[in-house]
Amino acid sequence: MAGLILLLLGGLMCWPSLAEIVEYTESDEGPGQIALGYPVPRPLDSPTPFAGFRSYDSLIQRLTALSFSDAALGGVKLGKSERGEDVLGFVFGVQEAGQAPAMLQVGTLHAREWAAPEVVSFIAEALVARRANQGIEQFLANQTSILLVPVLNPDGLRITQAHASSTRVGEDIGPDPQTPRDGRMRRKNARNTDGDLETTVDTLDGVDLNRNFGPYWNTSTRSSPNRRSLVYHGEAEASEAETQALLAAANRLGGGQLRLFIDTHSFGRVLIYNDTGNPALTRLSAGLGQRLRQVPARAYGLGVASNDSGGYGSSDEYFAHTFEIPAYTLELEPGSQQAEEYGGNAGVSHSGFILPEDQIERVRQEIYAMSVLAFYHQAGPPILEQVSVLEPRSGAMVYRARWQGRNGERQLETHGASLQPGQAYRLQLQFSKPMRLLDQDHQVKAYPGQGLPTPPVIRLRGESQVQLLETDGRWLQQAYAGDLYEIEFTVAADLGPSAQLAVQATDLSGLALDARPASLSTWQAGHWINYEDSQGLNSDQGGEDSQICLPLDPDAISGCSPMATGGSGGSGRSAIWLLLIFALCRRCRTA
Amino acid sequence: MQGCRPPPRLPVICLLIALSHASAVRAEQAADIAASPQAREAALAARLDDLRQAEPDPALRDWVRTLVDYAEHSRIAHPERGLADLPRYDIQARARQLLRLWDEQAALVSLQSVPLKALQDPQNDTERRARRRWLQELEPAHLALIAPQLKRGDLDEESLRILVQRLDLSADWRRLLQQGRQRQTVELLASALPQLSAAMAEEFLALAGRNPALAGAAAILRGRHARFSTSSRTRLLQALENARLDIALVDAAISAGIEDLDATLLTRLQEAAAAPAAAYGLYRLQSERALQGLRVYRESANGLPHLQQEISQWLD
Repeated sequence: MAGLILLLLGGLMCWPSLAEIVEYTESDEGPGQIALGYPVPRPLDSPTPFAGFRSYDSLIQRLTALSFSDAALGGVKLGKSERGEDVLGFVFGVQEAGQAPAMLQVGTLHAREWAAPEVVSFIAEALVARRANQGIEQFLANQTSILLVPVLNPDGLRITQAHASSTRVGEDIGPDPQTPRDGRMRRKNARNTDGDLETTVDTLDGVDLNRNFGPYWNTSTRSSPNRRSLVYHGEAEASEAETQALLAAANRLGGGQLRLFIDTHSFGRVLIYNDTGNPALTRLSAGLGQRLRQVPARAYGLGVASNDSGGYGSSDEYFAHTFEIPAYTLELEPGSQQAEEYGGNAGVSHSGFILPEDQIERVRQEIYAMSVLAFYHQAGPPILEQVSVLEPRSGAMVYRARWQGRNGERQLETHGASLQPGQAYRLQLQFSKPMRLLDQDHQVKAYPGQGLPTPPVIRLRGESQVQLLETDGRWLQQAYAGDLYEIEFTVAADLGPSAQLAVQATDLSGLALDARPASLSTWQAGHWINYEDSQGLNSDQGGEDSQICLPLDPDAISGCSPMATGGSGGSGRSAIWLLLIFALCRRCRTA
Repeated sequence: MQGCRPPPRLPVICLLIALSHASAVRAEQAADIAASPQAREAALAARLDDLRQAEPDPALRDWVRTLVDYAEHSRIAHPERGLADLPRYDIQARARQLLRLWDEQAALVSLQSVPLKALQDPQNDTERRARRRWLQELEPAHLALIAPQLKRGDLDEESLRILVQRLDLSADWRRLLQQGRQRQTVELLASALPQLSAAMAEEFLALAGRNPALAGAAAILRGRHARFSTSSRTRLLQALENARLDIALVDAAISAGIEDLDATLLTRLQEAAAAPAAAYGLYRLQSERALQGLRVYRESANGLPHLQQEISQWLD
């Protein structure tokens, strides 16, 4: 008899229970309670960031206030949510659409992923706070448009915040009915829902916004046509108002300028890029992903999604395929151990969505550094913008060569006198972007997770010999901290009447110099164009810039000019030269 | 879900586990009979949970340590799309948690027997948690005795909050508000404000307002407090009229529900330095007078160009 009772009790304990509302607690484990092992996060009305999660209203008020106060940030109404809430974006940097390389980072397609709105909002806040720091942020403010959409699903986020510690179990139609749905664990938008956790009819409703995008909408079992499914893809592609708002965001930036998309989710501690079938895009997305994943103190994983057997209908697929740009799904921490990674309880299903409050400050900072590196990388390859040769003691200019932009290309302007063999000089190389991070003592420091870059390699190539210049130079500031490299050198005696200055350098994100600055590099069809290597070929890799000629004899000044563009496929100049030569030869033969 | 070990839809295994609560060994044997990896791992998880109440001996600790690297066979789908699957029973995580729990318990017992150890700075989170539990349990008189020494060392925010809650000393409050970063600190201040004198409430709100991590929340609290405190409301009104108008002041004024705030802000909209905060406040108020004032400002010849552009974005 006792055995029978135990049998019944065991069955009752473990058989799928009826639908019920359960509460997350810190430590209480009574009926209907789930102990996390740390304080249950709750939203706080605080416009400024603190060690916790802000209410939706506070987040929006904060960014709205910044946009009113600071010209570097502009608010944009991208559309309305299902319940008529504004879906808001905030543009950092160049405000005019289509005038600068553009990046888009979004958060909170899924309502329960509270770290995402904090992270994306913080990116905007920190960019604004540092936009005059004469470093990377100032470069981004001047040279890029970064559209940040912290909350694409405001209705859903409001529901999760209104039920910060409660959810429903026992109703899911998937393999595990105990999968928590609605309340704190709402994932989808608010279509057909009232936001009230007590009402049962709408617990499972809503559309999974990250299954509502083309071109792979409804193409596999990774989404569902069942409106009660956690991954319900909606009635049609882009059927949801929030989806349309994100499409509007891309238009707001001027689609042709878009170079990067990041969709911020949790959890998993992994960065996922897309294999679209464009080999260059896939390679570049993987390469950048490798760098980004190492920025946080505990490295993220790197995954790849392909569409060989259909897709998800996710936002990253849309941006990768439509715009041919690196498009990532960023699954924030924790990893597979969920709450236990932070000293919380093990075995709590879905606790990975409940990041402890005492972790969010660190996560904000780490993902800020990751995103900034991505923006900086996609802003474009560096060029050697100006070379100055100075008298070492007086600092007087001896010779200067500078690339000036005109009508979509650059021309080299030079002036000054020739250098004297055997004479000591100071050489200043000014790059088009900050190339190094400098600490307070102006010493080079590593970007998080990237290691210290090697110093530039500088050579003078004469007629018959090459002089390798010393590399114990120092990094200084011209337009931005760390954009100017300075060394002292003495011109070798036997280089000849002139020498090509050959410079190899990489920026903070590992991009080598655009070796032929005359043609402006840009992003097109999934890769860089006019980003020439040392041979002047389009390569996506860059190379050694040897375009600057230093005259070592007064007679050589007029003949000291940039090398020919070589085999640059971007400008097509070499092809034109070949045609001209061919035509001349034909004439000669005819004559 | 937590509380159901092992998970539902496995009634036979669950029955075994239900029986096992009396004896971890019996559960393990029973699971072995079932002979599937899932059954074995379910039993293992149950045993680890049961051991939370156990007195760990070295052999038991060694056994649990071996599970920290346990390669779990039984997996479930990750709730996020396409990500690597998750361990079903979190054997590794349960083992780590158990070791932490035992360490914390040992640290607590050590503090209870030798209270002076509390004066040594905790070396890790486990020791920190144990010290917090000890501080919560300590007799008030003993706590008051040891607190001055504690405050000279590495006192985390949670511990400082315990001292504030249990001893209610102004100096501790000040330190907490100057250094605090957590929601619970803001909530503690919010709950204390109605009982504080007007001067002390103002001082504490000002302290929190100068702490970058609490400044935003402090502005909201200041406004909410002014709903009920005449002196606080008066000070807020005076600041709105005369002080440098910034976003925090506007947030406080809106939280306070100041009457005719739109009129005040419209006046201050004419000052270049105050205009961004005033415009932000007017936009948040959304009254017809506020919106009309913003429309006028947008077209004004004297407005700040950036602000005029921004107002256009928000009004359109």
